[in-house]
Amino acid sequence: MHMADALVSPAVSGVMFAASTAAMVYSVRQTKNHMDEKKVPLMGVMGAFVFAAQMINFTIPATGSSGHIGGGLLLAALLGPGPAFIALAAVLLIQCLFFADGGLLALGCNIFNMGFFPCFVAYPLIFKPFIKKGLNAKNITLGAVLACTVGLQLGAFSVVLETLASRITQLPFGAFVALMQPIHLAIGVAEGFITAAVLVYVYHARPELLDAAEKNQVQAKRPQSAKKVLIILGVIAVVTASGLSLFASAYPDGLEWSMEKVAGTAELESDTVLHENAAALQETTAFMPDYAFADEELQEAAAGTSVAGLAGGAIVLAVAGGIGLLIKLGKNRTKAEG
Amino acid sequence: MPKMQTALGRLNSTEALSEKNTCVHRLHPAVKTVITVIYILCVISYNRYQLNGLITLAVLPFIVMPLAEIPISAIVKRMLVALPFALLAAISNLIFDTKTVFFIKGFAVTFGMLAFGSVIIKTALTVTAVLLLVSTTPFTKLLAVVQAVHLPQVLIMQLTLTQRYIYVLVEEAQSTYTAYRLRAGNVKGVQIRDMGTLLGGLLLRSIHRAERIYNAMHCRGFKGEYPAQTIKKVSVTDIFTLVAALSVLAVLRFIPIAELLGKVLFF
Repeated sequence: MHMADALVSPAVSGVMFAASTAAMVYSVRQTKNHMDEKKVPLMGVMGAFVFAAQMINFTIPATGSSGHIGGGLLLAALLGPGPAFIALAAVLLIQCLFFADGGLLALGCNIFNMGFFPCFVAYPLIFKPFIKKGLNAKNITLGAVLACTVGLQLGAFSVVLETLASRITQLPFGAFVALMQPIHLAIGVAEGFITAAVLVYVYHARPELLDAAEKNQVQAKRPQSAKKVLIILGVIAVVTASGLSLFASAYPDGLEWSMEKVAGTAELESDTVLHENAAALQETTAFMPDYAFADEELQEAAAGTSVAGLAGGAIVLAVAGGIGLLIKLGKNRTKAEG
Repeated sequence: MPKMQTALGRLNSTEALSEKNTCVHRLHPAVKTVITVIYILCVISYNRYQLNGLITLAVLPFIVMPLAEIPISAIVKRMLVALPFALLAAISNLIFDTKTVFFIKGFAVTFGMLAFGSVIIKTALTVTAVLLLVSTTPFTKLLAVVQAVHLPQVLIMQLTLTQRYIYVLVEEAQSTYTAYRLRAGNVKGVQIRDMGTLLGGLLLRSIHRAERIYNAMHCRGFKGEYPAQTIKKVSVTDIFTLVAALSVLAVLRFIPIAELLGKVLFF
């Protein structure tokens, strides 16, 4: 599910970076204000644990294929959502830098898809209510399976939206969704069961670890003023809205069609502040890619790429390769002489 | 397990490469980071049919690789990781986008082919750019840049600790997995029912380790603050390189060199 740089446009990457940054600011604040210094090495080591755990593949029964855990919900359950989000973001950055697993500019997308959904949606809205009913093996299992499945579904859907909004692939929306969602449903359920098994194991061996995460959460929530949370949520909303409107501008037909079904009209009155902000943000970001459509786009593209251009490109490359080779030979000679 | 050995091998080899002493390695880490980010931005700013300009951007890695003495094999190996998902997105273009753009000696080149090529070239260039950055700059120096722009302490400590402990925990995961394999007979991967105990055990050992690390850090005076790292000053060479690299990027991005050259030479 790691998106590469080649799959995102600058606009989508910018919007998702902003969204992830907002979530990061919130997480850092939560972590800074309410965490004892003991947790610092724990967070670091847990990040490395997730990395190592992702290397252990399990066999998915009856399919012959294998998968690995994502670790978002596991970290959220043990560390609380804020620190878990930071730990996941660090893992994703290291994977991107050293393993080419996900791109540098696509990092915003990846952190959002694999960090935000499990930590700030699946954990508080699904897992926590189950745990609140009582900390026992049954509730942990039910909560983890549901939360992992929903978290991964949201992440996978987000990948579809981001890829399509970047206009990299011609895969129709329906086909792309039909491809991504079922695959990630299977992975999500399997990951859910494994996360549950790990958490139940920890619960039996050291129940205080899960308990501490839960308590930490309650403490962490209280001093955060409602205003701050609202501001941060507002920023996320605007950023997401502008992301959606970029998507909408790329696919007017589909959205208008569904809008007609829902609202009875293809146009909605834009009288909200949020909408205006989103529109303004979109204007400032939309200059980067040109969203020309259908025939217009094809004509423009045809003007952009031609046989002459490709031939010229090959020559430029050959010359660059030649220069590179000369540098290498020169260096080798200097070394041999030295 | 080969996957874990590969991961450790890659980390080690990247770290070894980043310790070299070439003109690229000696550049200021901030300069290299800025150039890399702008380079990737240039690459992904082309729409899916614009191949000419995209190809000319490959010039930079071709020059930087030998200058930094980075073997091409190191880069190709990592590219294979990024390709599968990109291929999935790219192949759909071949199927769904079949209008012809032009003919090369009777062979019809479709829009889908251009889009396919574009995704593959973009993947190659962006992966190469990131890899050249980490292969020529030690991770601690990259973190020092991050620290210099005053990113939160907690983030920097997280990155430092995670990167260090990946070595330790992957090795631990590896020996756990080997122990499992020796007892499990001829099964592929880990049975799903055993995953809880296996990962749970690894998790508890990791937590123990974190506690010991904290004690050790505490004994050495750790108070939740990460000491500021020294970062060398930006030199004249650094500024010159930055300006030169950005100018070259601007020329490559905004002047259709390939197109002009092709027309002069062939048409």
